[in-house]
Amino acid sequence: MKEFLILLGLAGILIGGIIAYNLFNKEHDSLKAKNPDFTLSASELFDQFSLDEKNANAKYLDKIIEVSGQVAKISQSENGQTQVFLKSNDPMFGVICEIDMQSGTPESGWKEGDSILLKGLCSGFLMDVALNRCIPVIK
Amino acid sequence: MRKIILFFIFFLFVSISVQAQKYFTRSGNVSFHSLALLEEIDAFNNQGTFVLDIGTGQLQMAVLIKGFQFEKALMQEHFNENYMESNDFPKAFFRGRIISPSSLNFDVPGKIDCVLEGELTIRGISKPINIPAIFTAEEGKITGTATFPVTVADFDISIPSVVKDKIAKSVEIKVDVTLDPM
Repeated sequence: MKEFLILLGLAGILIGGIIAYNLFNKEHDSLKAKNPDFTLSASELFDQFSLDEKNANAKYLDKIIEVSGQVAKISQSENGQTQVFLKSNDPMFGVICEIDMQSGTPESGWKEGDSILLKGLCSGFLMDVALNRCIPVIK
Repeated sequence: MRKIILFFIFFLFVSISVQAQKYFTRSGNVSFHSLALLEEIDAFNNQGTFVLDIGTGQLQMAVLIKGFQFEKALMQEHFNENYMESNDFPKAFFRGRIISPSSLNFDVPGKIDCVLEGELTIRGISKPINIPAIFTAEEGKITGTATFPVTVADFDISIPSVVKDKIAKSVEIKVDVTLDPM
């Protein structure tokens, strides 16, 4: 009986260790199955940040935002990362959306002028509002 | 009458030639690399903004801390919450100018070895820094690259002794930008 309990204890520690290791080394979850915290247009999102960055940061940082907008430009970086720029009311800047590399190339059908819907995590505001790990939303 | 036309043409010429003074990007690449005893950490950010005024040599670069992507989710969380406190300090930036060479000519295609002098601000703390950089003037654009070390402690980033062998005291930052005329 004692040996059985010891064995059980060791198994528990081993399993616990494996879970902890996996948790520590876990990659990001895709946003695919996650519901957005906010839904708004690229123009609305841009306006919120350019009007009151401090409040917009408190409201939107680290949140999943579903954004609709028109594609101003799509660019690729050297390491294969795709950035989709969405238009806003501002003539020069808007929302920059980095496409989640782990989900393949879902944006490959997009081109300038298209009206698209995507969701991503908000990381803040420089010249544009920045979203990361974006994936298209199909409704 | 001729004088007026001549003056007007001269004025037009001058205003056209100063048009493309600023070059910029909103998708500049900033990455950092930490090599410590027990762990190698890499993170990259592809949404850096960079503005260069080729007339004055002044430049500014900014990145959002939450925009740094790590392979491991937990590491990204610790980076933001424990080390960088990115909710309080969402941005890091460099403001400075090219101090060498003293005269810049981006009209001729080719590489220019530069030294940048300025201030690096991380977590609200600004430190003076000199950064060697290479700008390459090409047809219609300018590319730039720089690699420099940052001592973590300089910006009040304290590493708990538990993880001191996992995070290097000095982190290497690499910047790669392709700038278009503004």
